[in-house]
Amino acid sequence: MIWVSALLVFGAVGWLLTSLAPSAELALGFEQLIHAPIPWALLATLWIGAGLGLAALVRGRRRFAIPIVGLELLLVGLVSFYFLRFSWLPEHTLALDVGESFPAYSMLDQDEALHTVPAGGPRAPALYIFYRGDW
Amino acid sequence: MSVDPPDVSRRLRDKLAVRFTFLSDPQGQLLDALGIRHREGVPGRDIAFPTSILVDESGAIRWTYQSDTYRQRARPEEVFAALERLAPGGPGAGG
Repeated sequence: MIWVSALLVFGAVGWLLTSLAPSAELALGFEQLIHAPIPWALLATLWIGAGLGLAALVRGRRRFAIPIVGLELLLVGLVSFYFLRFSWLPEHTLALDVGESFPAYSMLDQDEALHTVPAGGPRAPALYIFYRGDW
Repeated sequence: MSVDPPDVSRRLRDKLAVRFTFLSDPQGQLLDALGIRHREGVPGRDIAFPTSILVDESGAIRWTYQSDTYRQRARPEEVFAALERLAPGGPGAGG
């Protein structure tokens, strides 16, 4: 059972690493890690593999299995944490639809310069990207 | 745009070496107007639901994007396609 477990976990992690292709457009990260939805099949394979490893450890009490299962749990934990953290957001819907006016605002930028924009035009077109923050 | 204060945004811009503007909305003024305030999104702090909005010169919203996770972002080709529709003479241009 320990070898099946190792095959599942190390095989899945190996597949993940070898399938990553650097993004041509992005300076940071990989296309698959930034745009892909949660890879449930991959995560399920990892969890089943880790479960089999733990079961083998408990049933067989084989000393050589301890570092293998330890490494498996570390890998499964890291991959799961990466893909699942911040992955569950409460229901939310944008309050404004396409065609409606973007709200007026007055805000400081990174150099503490004030940007004041009215709700209607004329104004400079802009792409607003709301992100979680960098801390 | 984020709830980060300007100095945090400045450090991020320097780190990423990009030239676009980072607006600070520490009180969430726009987050409430847009309905994208994620209460306690991080412990002790409200943050924005991940959202992108394209606005034209008349102030009208022309394209929006919302994702289900903070990890997932709009693909560059989706954003560029929306920008092209906005451009004068583009597929979305009227008249």
